[in-house]
Amino acid sequence: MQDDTITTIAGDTTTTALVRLDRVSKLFGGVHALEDVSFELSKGDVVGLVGDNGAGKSTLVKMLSGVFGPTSGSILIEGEPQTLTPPARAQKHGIETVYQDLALVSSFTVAENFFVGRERSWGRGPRLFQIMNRRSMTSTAASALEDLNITIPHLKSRPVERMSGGQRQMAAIARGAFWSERLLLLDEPTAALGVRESHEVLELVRALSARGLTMLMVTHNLEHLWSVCNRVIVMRRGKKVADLRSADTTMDEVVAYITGAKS
Amino acid sequence: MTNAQEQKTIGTPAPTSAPTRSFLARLPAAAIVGIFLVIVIVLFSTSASGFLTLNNVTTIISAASVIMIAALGQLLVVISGGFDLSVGGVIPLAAVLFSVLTTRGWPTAGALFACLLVGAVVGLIHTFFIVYLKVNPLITTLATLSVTGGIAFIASNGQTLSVPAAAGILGDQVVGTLPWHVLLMVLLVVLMHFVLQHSILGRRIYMIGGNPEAARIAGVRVIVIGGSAYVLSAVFASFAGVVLASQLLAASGTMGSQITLQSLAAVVLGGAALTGGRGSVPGAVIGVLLLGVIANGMTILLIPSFYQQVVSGVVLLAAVTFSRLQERAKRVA
Repeated sequence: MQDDTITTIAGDTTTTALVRLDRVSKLFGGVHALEDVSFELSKGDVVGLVGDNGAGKSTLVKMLSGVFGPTSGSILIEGEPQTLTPPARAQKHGIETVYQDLALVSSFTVAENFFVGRERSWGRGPRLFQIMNRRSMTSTAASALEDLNITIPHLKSRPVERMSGGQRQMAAIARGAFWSERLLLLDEPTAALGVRESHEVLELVRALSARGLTMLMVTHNLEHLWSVCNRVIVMRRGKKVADLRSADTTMDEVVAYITGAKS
Repeated sequence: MTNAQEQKTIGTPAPTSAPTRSFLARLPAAAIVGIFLVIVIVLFSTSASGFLTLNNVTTIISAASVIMIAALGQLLVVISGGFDLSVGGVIPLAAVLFSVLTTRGWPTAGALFACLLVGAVVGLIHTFFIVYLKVNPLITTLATLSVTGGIAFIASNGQTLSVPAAAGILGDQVVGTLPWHVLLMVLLVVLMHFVLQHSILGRRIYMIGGNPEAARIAGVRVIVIGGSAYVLSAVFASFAGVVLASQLLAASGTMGSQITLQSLAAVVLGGAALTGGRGSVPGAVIGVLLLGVIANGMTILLIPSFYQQVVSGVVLLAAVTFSRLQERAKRVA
């Protein structure tokens, strides 16, 4: 009966959160990496996830990207509780992740990296013996990048290992945005980049936001956060200590939450 | 005039980077070895009489055929991020088994099939230890090299066994002076090139070698892909053993034991990296041919085979060093 009421509410698209975490906890050998974390992400949100090292940001992102499941609590996608592990299942639910270490195959071109694990192919029978449709993959990747106004020279011929960190990050985000139907997780997208390259990446995040893409971005850089996010969630020692609209708060206040000066 | 020129120079960002990229740095690693191969061929054609005759070319290709078949398997494993030292044990094992079975009256095709099956079992054992349990491939395949080579010795009683003439079909000529096994080798080369470049299996072998973590996250079944590389390598090695036995009408526990190194050398000469994710069939072909041409030319020049071993080693070291330096130059550029 109770379930029925919940489904009725969930059926109403205007009030249902795109993704909802309901009292999620994660234990690693008796240690609470996450404790009773709950929040909602609505369509179009661009949320900055901050916190000191070990606050649980990475654990949270890995849980949403399907690397591991919660010890207790549930994750609801458009009102329905879902299992997101393994990562391929999270992807089926429209959740894409841009990992900090990029997860690009360095000897592949940008175009080839776009379709890693999701190759387009001809033929029937076992998937491994099907023939790749290289032309279709290359042209799709090229037009997806063009669509986002990203210019990467030699994207069809140069392996990504011979590109700059900025170009690689742009390619990785563009790939995530291309496949993401619900949520794009960005794990420290500007961490390893210079000033100009960080600016380009944030520019891209803003452009994706303007298209209505929902994003959750882990960052240590509050200025970067403020330039793109409309909301900020602060983690401390595995707990969510603040969830604020960036317009209603200040960097000083967020820093106070991060350090524990305020709680 | 001078002013405008100066301004133009200042306006151009990083003017040093573009022109310093040398011609050599642009070439793929295999192309350099290819150029080297041509130089070696030219040198031998002028110094060794009878080197560039149809007869001798057939000899080179026939001799290289067994190494090429084994190198195709080795290539798959190296691209997937491992290597297979057991090749030099699986080859004599398959050769001895082929000899024993055909001597007992098995039909050639049946004996061949049994040998390939044994190869597949060795490959599955590698898959279990290396891909599933993640035991180091060096240690694992060194162990299976010892085991398979040992079994070959036991089965042959340490002697050279003969193979019935009827089972020598792979060494028989199909067109002109071209034997059957060369034809099959060429077909395998073309097939494996196609598999690596155009099939999803091939793409994923590169993927698990290049970035296993990314492959896993992307939902690639690393055990299936890595396992197929090891299984194919052992199957190719046992096919190479059968070809060797069928060609020579003999089998022994030591035959082909040097092919472990030759196949690895050929694959690396052809641009494959032992760190995985890199390598190609055309490159491996060039590598095999280079080793084969050097061995053949030196034989014609009556240089003892011990020297050939030394020269092959030096060539390998030179090629690997060069590709390393080239790689560094590329990264700077």
